[in-house]
Amino acid sequence: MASFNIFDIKREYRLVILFILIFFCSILSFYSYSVEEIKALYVTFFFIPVALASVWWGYKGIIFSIILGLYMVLINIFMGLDYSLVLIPIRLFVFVLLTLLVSNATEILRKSESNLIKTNVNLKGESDRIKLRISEIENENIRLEEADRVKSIFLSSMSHELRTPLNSIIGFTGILLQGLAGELNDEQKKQLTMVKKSSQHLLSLINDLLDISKIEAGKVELNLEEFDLIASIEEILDSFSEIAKEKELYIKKDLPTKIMIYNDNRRVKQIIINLVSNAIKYTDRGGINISAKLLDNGTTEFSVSDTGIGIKEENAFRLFEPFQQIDPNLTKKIEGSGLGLYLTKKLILLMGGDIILNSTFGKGSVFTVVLPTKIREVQNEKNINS
Amino acid sequence: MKKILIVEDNENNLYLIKFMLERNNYSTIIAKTGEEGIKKAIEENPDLILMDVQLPDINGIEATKRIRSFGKVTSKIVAVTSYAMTGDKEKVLKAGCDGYIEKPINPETFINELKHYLS
Repeated sequence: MASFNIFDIKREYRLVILFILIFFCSILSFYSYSVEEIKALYVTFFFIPVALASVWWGYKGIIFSIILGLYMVLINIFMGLDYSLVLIPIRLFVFVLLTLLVSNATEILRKSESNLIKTNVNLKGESDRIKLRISEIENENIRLEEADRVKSIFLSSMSHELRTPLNSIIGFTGILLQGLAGELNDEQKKQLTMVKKSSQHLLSLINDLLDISKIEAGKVELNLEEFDLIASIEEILDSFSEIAKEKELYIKKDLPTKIMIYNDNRRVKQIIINLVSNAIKYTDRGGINISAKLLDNGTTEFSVSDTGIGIKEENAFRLFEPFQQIDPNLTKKIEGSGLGLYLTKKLILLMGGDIILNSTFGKGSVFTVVLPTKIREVQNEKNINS
Repeated sequence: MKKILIVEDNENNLYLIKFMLERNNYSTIIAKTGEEGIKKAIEENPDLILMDVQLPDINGIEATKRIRSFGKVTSKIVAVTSYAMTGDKEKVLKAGCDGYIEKPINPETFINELKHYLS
């Protein structure tokens, strides 16, 4: 005969057996033992099985111990025993609850561990997705850079192609105006002058475009040399004196006799020309003032101020963006490519300098340019796209 | 009469320069490619060569180098460059040009600029 093993019985039946055992033991205890002995029995017969039952049964154990507790209370009352005895099953009940909580806590721990594992797996998946996305973005970046490069090549070759026919237009218009191909009457001269002005405007637009595409492609090299900034400024102001006279504007100067700087003379001139021509363009009364000074910190500062229309503060940031003219009504009156200041700023940044605008709407603007007095060679190679 | 060789591939530009020079009493020879330019420079030894830098076969810089390496040509060579060709200034001078004129050609100053090289 096989040996009897209590664990071969189903867990539910085991508990029923336990319950019956407890029941008979307690009935027996009330008849044959003193109150003190009953207390001892409670501890012996209820404490261990109830605790075990609750561990086995989990949440069902709570219900079981509640029923057991109620049963104990009812028995006590029914038997007319001392009410203090009621405390015993209540204490047991609390104990059982604590036991249950411990077993539950273990279960919660186990669950949270498996949750952690799950989360880990999820995280790994997530990290794989992120890696995939990063490589997608990298590829996208490469595509964008390529597109940008193609755009720059397109712009520079287009600029060349556009300029070639324009060279003939400007050249032949010049010849005709000079009378080399025969005498012109006044109306013909007037119309040809219009053609010449328009074609020169178109040329400067194309040149700006070419410069910008070169800067953006990182292809602009500065031809560095030492030169006198003041001499360059004077030269430029001379070339603008006639236009200023026509508009009845004054040109004031606040310049030292000489400032030797090491930079690209042609590009620095380009910057000054742009600022001076803008100042004259947008000023109808008063005039412009140009000043320059050598600063102690290895930089040179020059500024162009005017008594022109000025810029509202909220529009100032748009000024250095491409194709922005602040007042659309003005665009009709004043020719401009909308690239001048954008290009100017790009060049200044390329040189390692900065441009600052101070303006009062309706009263005028001051553009201040700060450039390193001696530009370092490395800045030449710096890619200003970044 | 001073003799000027124009090396230029663009028909309109060629006509423009030729017209201006002839109206100002210079005699002109034309070449439309770099090779032709070298050949004519050696054959004719003109007073001045106006050399376009961008040519269909060999560029103006290379053509200038070859003319100069030939040795016998005494012509002044003036390069005609596009605007803002970075480094071209040094390149053309190093190749043996005496100077350069930037496109677009300004008819008002062009002849005076040439006179500077022809004197």
